[in-house]
Amino acid sequence: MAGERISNKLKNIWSNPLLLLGFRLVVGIVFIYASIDKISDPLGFSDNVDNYHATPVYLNNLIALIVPWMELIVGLCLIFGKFIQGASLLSAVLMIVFIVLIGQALFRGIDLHCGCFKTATDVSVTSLRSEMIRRILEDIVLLGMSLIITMNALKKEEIPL
Amino acid sequence: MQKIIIQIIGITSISIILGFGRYFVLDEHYNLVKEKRILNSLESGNSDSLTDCSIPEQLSEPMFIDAEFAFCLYEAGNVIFVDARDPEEFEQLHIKNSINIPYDYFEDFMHQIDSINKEIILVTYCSGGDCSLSIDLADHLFFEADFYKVLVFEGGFPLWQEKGFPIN
Repeated sequence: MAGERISNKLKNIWSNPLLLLGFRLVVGIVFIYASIDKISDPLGFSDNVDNYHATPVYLNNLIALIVPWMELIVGLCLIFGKFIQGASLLSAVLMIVFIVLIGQALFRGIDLHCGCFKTATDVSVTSLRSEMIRRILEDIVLLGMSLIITMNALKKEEIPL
Repeated sequence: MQKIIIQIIGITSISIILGFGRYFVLDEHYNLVKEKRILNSLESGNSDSLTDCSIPEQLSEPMFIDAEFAFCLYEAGNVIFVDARDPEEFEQLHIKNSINIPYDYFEDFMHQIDSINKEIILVTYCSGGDCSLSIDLADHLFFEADFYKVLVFEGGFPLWQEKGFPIN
């Protein structure tokens, strides 16, 4: 009985329209911010992708051209509440891909600048490994938000802004 | 379900179109299909006795060397081993007498790069295997910083350590 009450309470919290709007804005803004530098410097981002050693080199220029635009469109869709089901699902998939990419690099002992927000090296970063771990944790939080948006979006047809 | 699939296909298609659109208005043109950077290898003249590790006067680009060649150069002197890894990794263990110029922070090390005699042989290395920092740093030293004897020790620190060569 108590378990059911807690479960219902949690459901109410996760489907709170204000909380969902907050999540959409946070994930949307992060995606848009992350896309801007990559769109302006696709070649630099392609070098970042190379450093992960997880994708065939010949594909990296194409990945670097397309993924940033996907981030931008997903971010805009989340903010404006359009195509929310597809956009939120894509945001969750992208987050999982980013977590796996950084995680595998960390596991294989490859220290790198993730290229998550800026294609150029951030000289203020003193420990690449700590920075990579921090990025993974941030991505896990954003993934959680994306999944909550997705689950709610799947219940409804369209979420108004 | 069908609606979600249509939305995902729509977002992906628009991203592809915009990505290609961006490619065609870029100032700097490059191949859409990237080619893997492969360096030629410099072979030792007499690998058994490790006595001949001379390098050509003029290289057209940085070249790979193996562990024996690298050790031969190390013994002969007039060479600087340059560790391209992160300072944290360098501080733990590195090739004895090597210097650290992490590729990711090389702007911070410009004064150190500028103070090195251009005549000297530079051997870059990193963590071996998939690590490409040593190639990136070698390219920078050769093409941007005007060093003309730049070699890349392909096996990197793990191979050097495995061979039992001197480390700090």
